[in-house]
Amino acid sequence: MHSRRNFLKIVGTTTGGMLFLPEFLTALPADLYQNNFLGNRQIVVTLQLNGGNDGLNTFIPYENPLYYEYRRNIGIPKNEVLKVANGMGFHPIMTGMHQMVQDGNLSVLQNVGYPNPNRSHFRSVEIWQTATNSNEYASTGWLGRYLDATCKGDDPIGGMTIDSIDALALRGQSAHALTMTDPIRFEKQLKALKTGQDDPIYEHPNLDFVRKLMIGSFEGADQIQAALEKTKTGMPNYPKYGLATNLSWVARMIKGDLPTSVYYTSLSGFDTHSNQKPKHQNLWKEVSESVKAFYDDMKAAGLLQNVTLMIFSEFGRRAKENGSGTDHGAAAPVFVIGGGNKGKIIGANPDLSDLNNGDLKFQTDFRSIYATLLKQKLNTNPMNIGIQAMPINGLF
Amino acid sequence: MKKEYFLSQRLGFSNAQADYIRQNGLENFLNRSFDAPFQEEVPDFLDDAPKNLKEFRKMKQLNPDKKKQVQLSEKLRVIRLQNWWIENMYAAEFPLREKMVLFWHNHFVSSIQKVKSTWAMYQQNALFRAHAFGNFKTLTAHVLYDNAMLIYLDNTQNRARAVNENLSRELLELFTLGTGNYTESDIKAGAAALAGLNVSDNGGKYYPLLEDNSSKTYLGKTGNWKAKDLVDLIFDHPKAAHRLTEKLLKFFVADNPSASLMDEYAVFLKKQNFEIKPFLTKLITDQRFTHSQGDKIKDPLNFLLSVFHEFQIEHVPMRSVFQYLKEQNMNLFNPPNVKGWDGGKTWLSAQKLLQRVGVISLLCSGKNFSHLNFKETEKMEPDALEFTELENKKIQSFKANLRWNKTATNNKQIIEELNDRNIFAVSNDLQQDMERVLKYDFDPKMQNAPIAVTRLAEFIFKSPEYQLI
Repeated sequence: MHSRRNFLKIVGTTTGGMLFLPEFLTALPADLYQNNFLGNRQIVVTLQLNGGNDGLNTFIPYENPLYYEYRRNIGIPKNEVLKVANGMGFHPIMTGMHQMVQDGNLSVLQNVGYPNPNRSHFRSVEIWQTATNSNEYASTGWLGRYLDATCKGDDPIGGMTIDSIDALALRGQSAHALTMTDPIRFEKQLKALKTGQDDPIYEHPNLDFVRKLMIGSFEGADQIQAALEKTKTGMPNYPKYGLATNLSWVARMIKGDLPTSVYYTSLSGFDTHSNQKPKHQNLWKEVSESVKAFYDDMKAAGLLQNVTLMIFSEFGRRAKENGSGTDHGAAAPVFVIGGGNKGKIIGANPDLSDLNNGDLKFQTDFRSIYATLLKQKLNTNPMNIGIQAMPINGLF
Repeated sequence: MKKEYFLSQRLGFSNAQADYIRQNGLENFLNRSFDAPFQEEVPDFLDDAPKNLKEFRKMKQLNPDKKKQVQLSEKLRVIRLQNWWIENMYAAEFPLREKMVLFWHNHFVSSIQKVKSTWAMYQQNALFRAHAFGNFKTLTAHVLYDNAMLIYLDNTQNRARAVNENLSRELLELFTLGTGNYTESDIKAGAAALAGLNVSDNGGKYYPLLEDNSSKTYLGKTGNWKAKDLVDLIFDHPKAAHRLTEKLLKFFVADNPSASLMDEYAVFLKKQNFEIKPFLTKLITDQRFTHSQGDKIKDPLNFLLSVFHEFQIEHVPMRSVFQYLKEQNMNLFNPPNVKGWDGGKTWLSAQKLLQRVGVISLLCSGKNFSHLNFKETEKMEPDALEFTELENKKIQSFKANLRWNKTATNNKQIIEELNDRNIFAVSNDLQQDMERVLKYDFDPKMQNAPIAVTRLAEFIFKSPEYQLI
C-alpha cells in the first residue's frame, strides 16, 4: 500500500471566494501584489514546533541554581551549554543557531506567552494561530486575516503552508493561501498532468485520478511551477531532514520570486513527557541544522534582510522535571532569525523562583511579536487584523 | 465508511436513509422503495405553463414583448421544475424511485433546450417516475409515444414523404441494442415505421396522412411495422438487455464494471423479461455491489446533496443549485446531448473540483449559496423579482449546521463518526492528518468545539477520498 503522503496534496486554505469565476486556472499577473519589487519586499516564514517545546532546555538559564535543582535528570550541564549572554545559552546541539547569534542575526524573545494560559495542545495551538485571548474564539487565523486585508482580488498564493494539513493561522475569509504537502511530487505530477502522461503508480485508480486533478485545480500552480523551474539548479545542500526539505522548498519559492509573503511549516514531536533528553536533542538537531541551512542559503543569496523566520511552540514545559521528562507548561522563548533583526535577547531571564502553578509566567505577549512582524515586516497595521498588542521596540 | 451510509448514498442521494437501512435491513428498504407512494400531483408552478397545441399556437401569435415575457416565465419554470425534482430526491423517504427517474432521464434523454415545453418535460419525468421500477420494454414503448421525445428526436419532422431518421437511429443505437447489432437499413425501416407518429395533446399518435404503410424489413422481419412492433422486434434480439445492463451497473455499482458482471446481469435481465425490480433485488445483495466502495466518482448532485445532509440543510436553494449543476455540467432536464452524461471521470475536471472545494468552503464558513454569482437569472426581469422573493424564503431557512454527536468525549470518536459516514476508506496517513486537525486533547465541550469540528469536516469534504463513493 502506498502512502497517502506520497501524493502531493494541495488544498486551498479558504473559506470561500473562488466560486464560479470564469477563469479558474489562469495564472495571475504578479502585479496583484502590493509589495512586489524584490528590493524591499519582506517575507515572513513561521516555524511551529508542535507539542510544546521545553524552552528551559532550549535556551538555558545555566547560571541559575534553581534550574539544576528542578532538573536533576534532564538539566544540561553548565559546561556543555553554548553560552550567549547574561547567563543564558543554547542547548549544545544547537550549534547552528549559536552561530546565527554570533553573526548578530538571531534574536531571542524570552518568556513569551499569554494571560490565562491553556495547557491543552489543541486549544493553545488555536490561540496562537488565531491570536485571540484565551477565552475568545475565532475561525480565522492571524495571517489569514492579514492576507484578507492585503491581497488583491483572488490572489491564491499570498500565503503557503508546507504541511499535510492546513494551518489555521493562514485561514482567512477568502482564498489567499494554499497548502502543499510534498513539492517534489507536486513538480512531477504537475508535469505529468500537463503532458497528459499517465503515472499509474498508485493503489486506487479513481483516487489517483482525483488526486492528480487536485494538483491542477488550484490557482497559482503555474506560478509555483515557474518558481521551481527557476531554482532547479544551484540550490545548496540541505541536511536530510523533513524540516530541512520543507525549508529548502520555501527557499526555492522565495528565490524563484514567487510573490508569496507568508510561509508556514511545522515540526512535531515536542511533547516530551518522558525520556526527554535524547528526544529533545534529536529534535533540536533537526531544527538547528535545518534552519542553519535555510539561513545560509538566504544569506548567500543576499536575501537575509528580506526574510524573517519566527520559531515558536504552543507552550513551554513545567519548570520541574517529572522524572525523565516534563509536563505541559506555559511561557517559553520565541526565536526570530533574519529580516534585519538586531540580534538581541529581549526580556528578562526566566524567573524560576516566581512560578505560577509550577510554570513560568509570561512577560511578552506573543501577539506583540505578531504586531511587530505585521507592522515592521508586512507593512500592515496590526489593529486592522484584530491584534491590539503593541509592537516590541528594538527587535528590528 | 459504514455499509448503511454507502448504501444510502448509492441507492439514494445522501446519507439520509442510513438509519432506516441499519434498523430495518436492506431488503425491507428495497421493498418499501418499490411500494412507497410517490409524487403524482402536478406541481402548482406548472398551472400557467402552456400545455396543449392551442396554447402553443396562441403563444406564437403574441406581439414580440408579450412573447418575450412568456418565454421568460417558461425559463424560470425550468428552474422551478429542476428544484422541484431535486427537493423530491432530497426529501423522499425512499429516494430510490427518484434515483431511477434520474437513471431513465439519462437513458431516454430529452432536453428542454430543444423541447421548449416544461409541461412536456414534466410529463416525461412523470412517465419515468411511474415506470421507475417497471419494465424496460414497456417503458421503451411509452417513450416512443412521449411528446418530449418526439420533439427532441425530430419525429415531428418524420413523414412518409420526408423521412427523419433521428428517433429510429437513437432507438437502436442509444436506447436499446447499441452499435454493431443493427444495420443502416434497419434504421431506414424503423424511420418509415415511425413516420407520422407525432405529438398531440394526449401524447404521441399516428397521423394517417403522414404514415408510411409499406412493408418494411426490420431486424430481419418483414411487415407493415409500427412503433409497438419495433419494440417487440428489438426486445426479441439476444443483445436487447446488454446496453441497459451496462448503464445500470455503471450507475449503481462502478464506473468501470467488469465484463463478466455485465454479461451475467444482462442474461438475468433478459431472463426476467426486462423487469427492473428483480434486477435491483439481485443487485443489492450481490457482494460485488456491497463491496464496491470507492468505485464511483460522485456525480455533482450526489456530492451536493450529501454535503447538504451533513450540514442538516433543509431546503435545496433554487437558483444557486441550478447554477452549480449547470457549471458542473449536470443540468437536469438539459443534458449535453442525446447520449446523456457519460458519468465516471467526466464528472470531474480541475475546474469542477475547485468549484466543489469552493462549495465546501462556503458551507464550512457558514455562508450559503446566495454568495454566488447569478449572472443569468439576474437578467430575468421582471419575473425575477417574484422569483427572488421565493428564493429568499428558502435562503432564510438555509442554515449550515454540521451533523455530529455532541456527546462525544474525545477527538477519535468524532473523527470516527465523520469517517463512518463519509470516507470510503481511511488510510493511516489520512487518519493521522485528521488527528492533527482535531488533536487528542481536543475538548468537545469547549465553547468553539462546533467550529473546530467543522474544520475537521472541511478537511474531510475537501479530501480526494470524499469525491468517491
